[in-house]
Amino acid sequence: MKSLQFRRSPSPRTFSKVKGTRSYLFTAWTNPGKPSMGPVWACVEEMVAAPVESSEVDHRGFRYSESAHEVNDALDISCDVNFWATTHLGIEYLVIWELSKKFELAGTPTHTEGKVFFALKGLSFETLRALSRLRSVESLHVVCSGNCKISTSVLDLERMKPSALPGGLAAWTRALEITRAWRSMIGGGNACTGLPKFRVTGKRCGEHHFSSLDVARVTADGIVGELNWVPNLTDFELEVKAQVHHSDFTTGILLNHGLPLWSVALEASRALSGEEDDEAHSAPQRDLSYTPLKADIAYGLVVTGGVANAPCGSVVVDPMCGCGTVGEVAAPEFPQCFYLMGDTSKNVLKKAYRNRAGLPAHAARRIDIVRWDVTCLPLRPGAVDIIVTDLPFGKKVGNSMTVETLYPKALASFAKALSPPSMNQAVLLTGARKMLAMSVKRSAFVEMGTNNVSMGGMHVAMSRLKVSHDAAGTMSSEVLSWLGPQPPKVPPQIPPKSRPSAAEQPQTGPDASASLAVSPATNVHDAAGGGEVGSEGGARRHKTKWNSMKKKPSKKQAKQQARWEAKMAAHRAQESVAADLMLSQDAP
Amino acid sequence: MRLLTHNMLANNAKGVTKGFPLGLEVTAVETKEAEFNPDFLKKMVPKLEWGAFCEAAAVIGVTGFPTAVTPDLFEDEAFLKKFHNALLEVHVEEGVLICPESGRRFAINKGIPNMLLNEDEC
Repeated sequence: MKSLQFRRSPSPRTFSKVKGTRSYLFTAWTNPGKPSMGPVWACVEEMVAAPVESSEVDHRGFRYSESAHEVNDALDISCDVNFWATTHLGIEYLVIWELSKKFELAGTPTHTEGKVFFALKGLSFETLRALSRLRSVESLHVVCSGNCKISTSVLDLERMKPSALPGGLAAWTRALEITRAWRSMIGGGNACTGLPKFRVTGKRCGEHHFSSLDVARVTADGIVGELNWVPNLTDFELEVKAQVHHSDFTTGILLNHGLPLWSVALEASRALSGEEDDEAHSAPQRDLSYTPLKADIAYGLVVTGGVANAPCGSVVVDPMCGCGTVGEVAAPEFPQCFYLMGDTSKNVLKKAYRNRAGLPAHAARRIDIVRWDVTCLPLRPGAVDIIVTDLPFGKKVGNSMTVETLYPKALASFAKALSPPSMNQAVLLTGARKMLAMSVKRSAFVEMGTNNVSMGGMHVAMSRLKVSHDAAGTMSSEVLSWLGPQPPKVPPQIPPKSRPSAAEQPQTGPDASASLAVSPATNVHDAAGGGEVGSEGGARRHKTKWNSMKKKPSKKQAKQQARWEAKMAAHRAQESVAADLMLSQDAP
Repeated sequence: MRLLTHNMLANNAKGVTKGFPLGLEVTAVETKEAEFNPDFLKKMVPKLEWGAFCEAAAVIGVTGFPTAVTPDLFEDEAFLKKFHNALLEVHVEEGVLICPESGRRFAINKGIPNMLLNEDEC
């Protein structure tokens, strides 16, 4: 039994790894040293700081009222209903922002990694429909029980039966009613009449003496025993999620079965346009490019870029639009702006064209598509207010080399387009974070903040940039230089220290070592003058420094390099002695 | 492509110093009704190059715009409607954009202008 328990507890290594990831992801936007990220962040901070009013509210903001079971046919629930939404790790702030904008929330929403817990003041069909239109949520659960504390022991887990959980059995039947209402109205999954067929998915995070399978088993046991629902692992109507997060135990029923919620929202807006053209339910599927942007992240980009608060008549540009997800997401939500989308490839523009045609008319009329090259944007300086784009990461599209040349050129053309009369904001999504940071340093942009998002396990950065107006005049020549025929990959310059020695070196005809650039020359001088070892050392130091900036060699490589350099030095010394001899022969 | 987009496009090819406004040749035009929003139009006026807009509007057949916009014109419903129609409702489906300096022609197909440059041009 002991060994079994030992095996079941998570290894400390995995645990620390998880913890490490979390702290890494969250430092960026909880760091007080960073500049403020604008109204969205301020709004979230405000909400988090708001006091909790009622004593019934638990630490997660879940609320439990006495009149738990108040469901009738019209789905008019007057008491507070708890929900639990999941999203991409890193954009929880966005979910909270969207919720507070669209709903009347009871209390303050709380969040952990990738999950947001919130309560609504009452529920009707309209609210449910609005919930299904959430743009930033991947999956939505209606909570059955929320504020239960659990210790690490198996015995404690065994106590977790539905009747023993806060809210009791009534909370479960109410959650079932809400799920039925959702299925009948929005669809997704079966209608589930009578006793529902269900399965439980258990998830566990932290150090416990039980596994996630145990969590699922105990929950399923309780449901079968007390609610008489029918367990079925393959042909199920309800998916119950049981989750243990350190000392918290939460259960909920998944509402959107199959498709992510942001996808449901996008498809719903397309179906709407179909109805307007008298072709109800015949809206074609969205056309996706090779690396499509997920709609919730697109929404995150748009909101972080300040499109939500942009004044009427702002011009938003996505210069690398792909299949046009940014426009699709933003145009129906923020119709006060005009959207200009562009890309190089004919194929993806065809997709963007078809996707735009699927949007409701009022949104589609806000988007124009142009074919252009991002390194030479054909835009009048100052015409653009906000640039929102998903850059190629150099993984699936392009490689590290193409990204290295593309980013500086793209940033230069963005800076031109965002000249003074514009709102001057850019939000870029990239997986090649270092490359973007380097390019930003060399460009006229200043980084205002970065938000880290975990996208399918890849850590990508949402960078908010502004063109620095003071530097704009002086930078423009530099900006233009990037656009010139020379790629930005400049070979290392000869350091000024070693240059005088090269200049001092007398040009005595076809010298043996004159064709080799720096070191041989210094060597000649070295052998002749005797004392100038420092300059050569300086040159080499500089060279190695530049190399280390580019890529740090491994220990083995460094050893090999040292051996090779020693060999070369010996060779050069021999050569220089020979040259010295020749010189001395010439001199008399 | 609408005139709003036309007003933002310029030829930024290498060696071209004044690639704006692009000349317009139209072979097919389509009018799609768009939501009338006076506030949007008012905010759009200072962002536009008015001269370039008037020239382009004349090409698509909407004439009679004043040479400069004064605040009292925003009260004029007829002006706003005409402005709205020319700026947002008329789509140039087929045509050509022409650079004023180099004479480079950019084709418009299905309402999408192809602003790609050859390798030696950018």
